[in-house]
Amino acid sequence: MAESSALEPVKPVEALEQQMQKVSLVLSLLGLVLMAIGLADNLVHGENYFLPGSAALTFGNLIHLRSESLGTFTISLGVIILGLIPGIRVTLALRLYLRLRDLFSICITLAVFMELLASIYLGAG
Amino acid sequence: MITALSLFGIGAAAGILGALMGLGGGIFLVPLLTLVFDLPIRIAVGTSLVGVIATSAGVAAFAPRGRGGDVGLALRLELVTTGGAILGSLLTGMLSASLLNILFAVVVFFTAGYTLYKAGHRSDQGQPEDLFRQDYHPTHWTAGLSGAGMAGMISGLLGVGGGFIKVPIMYALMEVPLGVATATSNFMVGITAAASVFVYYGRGDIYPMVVVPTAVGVFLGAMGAVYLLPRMRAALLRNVLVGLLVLLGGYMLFKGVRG
Repeated sequence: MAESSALEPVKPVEALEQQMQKVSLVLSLLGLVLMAIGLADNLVHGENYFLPGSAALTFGNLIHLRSESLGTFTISLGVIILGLIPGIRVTLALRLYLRLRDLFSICITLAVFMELLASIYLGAG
Repeated sequence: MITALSLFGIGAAAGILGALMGLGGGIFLVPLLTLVFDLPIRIAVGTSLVGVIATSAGVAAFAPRGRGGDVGLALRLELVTTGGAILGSLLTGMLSASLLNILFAVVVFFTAGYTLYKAGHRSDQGQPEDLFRQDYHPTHWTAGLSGAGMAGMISGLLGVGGGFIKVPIMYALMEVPLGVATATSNFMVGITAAASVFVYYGRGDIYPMVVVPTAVGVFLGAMGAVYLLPRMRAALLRNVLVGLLVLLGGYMLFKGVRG
């Protein structure tokens, strides 16, 4: 008991903030570094820099590792990783509210998550 | 090389302004990419969405402890905002571009005016303004949620993050301190952008040559903004926000009236 009172416990919301900070830092740096390496690789292998250039890989080609150049594959992977960050932050919030058994916040967060999925589905359709 | 550096510079400027104001930066990126680089609007919006996510992630990654925004408030408002965004994107084809531009301008002028009115009201009370005051309790939930829904609908209609509406709603209407409103909006615009970015990706509107230098610039700009925000006076931040809103509203009104 003495130990738990001596060590200042981290408040749940602060813990969530720390987790979001770590996830955002690691994934955004990973995504951006992959994108930068991919662009450098394309330029080194003779691709000219002009706008708009060619589009990123389709989901199908990305999943099946079908790419004419490693650079384009790496850039596409970087964009996907960056795009996943907000959804992962919502998932972290959901995990916290589940731990706290905060039913109202669980419902709100789940609804936001479902809306996120629905908007992607509607847009893709 | 000059083109890449220009994209990086524009990204960095949008990242700083977007993160400081809680706007995400899309509101600056889309017009700049279309006007300066003559890019098609879909490529500009796709690039801007990646940029908005980079701003949101940059702020989240480097914000000092206790400055990461109000997650609970963000999720409650985002529930309505995302619903509004879905509705807005479904309505896009039914409204004319002129009407959309005029609607955009009216909302922007209203938020600018209301923000100034509230600021004047607070200064009359002689209260010094603390950007990150922690003893706040959001008020006017019904009006705030309605405004957030409208922000979402406008996001869906116009392809922007909607932070320029969310920040004044939280600050002026719901009595949330400006720094907290900005950080909360940065969290929200990331979610709104994430809802659309994969659609643009799937449609083939993400172009690496445009996205990479812009996104890197935006991320570094957002990092710089995190450093600047606690050192800025609330009045300066508010005046820059209102100035940008007036400029933006004037431009959209001009476009709307000209048809």
